[in-house]
Amino acid sequence: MSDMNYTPLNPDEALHAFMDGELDSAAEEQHLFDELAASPDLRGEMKDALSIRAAVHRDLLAPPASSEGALLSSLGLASGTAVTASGASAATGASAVTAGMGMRTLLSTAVLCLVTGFVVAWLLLPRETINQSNGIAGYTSQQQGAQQQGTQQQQPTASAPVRIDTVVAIRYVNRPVVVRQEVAPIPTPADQNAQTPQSPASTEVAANETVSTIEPTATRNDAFLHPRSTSDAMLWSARKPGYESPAVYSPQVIARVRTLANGLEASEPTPESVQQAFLPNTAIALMYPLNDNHRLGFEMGTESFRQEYTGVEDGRDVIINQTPVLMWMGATYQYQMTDVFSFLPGLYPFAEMTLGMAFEQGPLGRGQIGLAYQPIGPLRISVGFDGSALIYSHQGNSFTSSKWGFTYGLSFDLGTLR
Amino acid sequence: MAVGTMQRRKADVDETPDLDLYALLTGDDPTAQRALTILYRRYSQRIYTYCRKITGDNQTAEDLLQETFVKLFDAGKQGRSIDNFPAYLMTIARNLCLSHRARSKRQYVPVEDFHLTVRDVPYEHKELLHLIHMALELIPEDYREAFVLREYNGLAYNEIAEVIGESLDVVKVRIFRAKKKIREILAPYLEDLNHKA
Repeated sequence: MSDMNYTPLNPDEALHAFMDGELDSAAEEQHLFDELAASPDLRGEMKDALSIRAAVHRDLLAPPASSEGALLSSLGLASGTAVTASGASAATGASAVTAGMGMRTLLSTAVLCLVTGFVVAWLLLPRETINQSNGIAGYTSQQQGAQQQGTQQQQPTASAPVRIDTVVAIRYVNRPVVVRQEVAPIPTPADQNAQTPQSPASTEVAANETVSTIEPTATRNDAFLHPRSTSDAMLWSARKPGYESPAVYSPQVIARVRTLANGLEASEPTPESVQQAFLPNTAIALMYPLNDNHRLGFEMGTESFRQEYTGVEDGRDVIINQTPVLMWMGATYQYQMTDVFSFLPGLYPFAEMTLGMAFEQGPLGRGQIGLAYQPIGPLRISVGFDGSALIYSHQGNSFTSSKWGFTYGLSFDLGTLR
Repeated sequence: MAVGTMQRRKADVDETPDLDLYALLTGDDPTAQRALTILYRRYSQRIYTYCRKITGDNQTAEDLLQETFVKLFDAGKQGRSIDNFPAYLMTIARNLCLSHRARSKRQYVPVEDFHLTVRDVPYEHKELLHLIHMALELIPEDYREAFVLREYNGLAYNEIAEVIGESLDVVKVRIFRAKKKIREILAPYLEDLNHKA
């Protein structure tokens, strides 16, 4: 059959022409409607045509995202990203607005990461030195104090041992417990020769040859006698040869649940997606202390993210706004400072960073700085300032979404793994 | 994993007419770059889809897409006058596809190399899409091209006539016959689909 033997429209031809918007005659339209009302076959054909059209319209093919940049490069122009960033003001102000929003999001994310990085770096770098120097300084001042108590102290010699009645208060990090321990004395050569049983509470102890200064007196209450960390305990042992450290650090696995910022303005109504979600903007974490300052773990939660991105639908540029509640998980690192607030034991600042993935979306990063307080027992409360950023893509283009706000958490020490 | 109902609001970003953007291609580099970028984002999906459906190959379609816009850019720089931008752009793409097909002598496209969706669609729709792709392979090339330009690219009958260089009546016949043949091929499936619905 030739292509040219086209005849006036019959009902099914009129149907397809009408569906394509090509049926201009009102009379033909009316005739088509009459046929549709009378003919089940024609109605079935229309239903099939609609099914095919609906399927075809879902069959969108998008070129790779790199194509745009490659095209501009091949023409000796800058990349498409630069165009978006600079704003397409020559053509429309709306594109510039979109680009501006993207730049602001990227900028705020970068600033947040930078601030968190500085805080973590500040917390990480100087504290080891400070801890050590504090321990030694405390010990030195203690020696000086002890030497100033002239009537009670004397320079120890092998022949003139000093009396030590030691009561050591030990406080574990993360578990404020007071333990009393009597330190066994070091027998002098004379004692060894006599092989005389000695009372721990009233032992005459000779100075060890490797100790060049006097040991602390019994009633001293200072940081050196109160090791709060593994490093303090090791220092304690090193400074008291022959003695075992009274503090053996026991890392506690910590479980934490906390709220996350929803990223909404105070006056903004809660989106339906957030209302319907189960425990939105909540995260749980398990963390294992590497030592008294550093913790590693993982965290997962559900969180609402405001997303505003551009795309092409049906050949038109569109901006899409949505606030999905996403599930995410990631690896967490936390650094906590000890012995900062001497006026309130158990209160310490911390900084935390998490890197992870939001399911079906993309990579997610977050940072937190805050204060934690563990008054007694395994329970700990925390409050902090939390910021997060999500990278997601649509039609081959990447977009970011970030937010920040206060976070409140509750932690429990689950116990030791060893 | 998304939880809850997403709230979407759409708004047009660019309303600048195609021909105004095309005219900006004669400007300095930054202006031409911005105009070309907007045109690319506006039409790249349609051109890529057309090239992909005609050539059946992702990489070839991407190459032809770029080549199409390079030719458009050159035409704009030279100040060539056009009346119907979508039809002109599609004509460039079509000519490139025809040239490619003549060079490669490739007449048939493997069915398994013919399907790439960028959206997650329900299984029934995936199955229907798969069958549509198969049906497209079974109809004459002229009909297929007319169907693709109409259904995938959304061109009007007169625009299709301009692109393929045929009369309006020929376009009408080709589109109608393409649809009838595709429906005939899919009839058992469509009957079952409608019965389920």
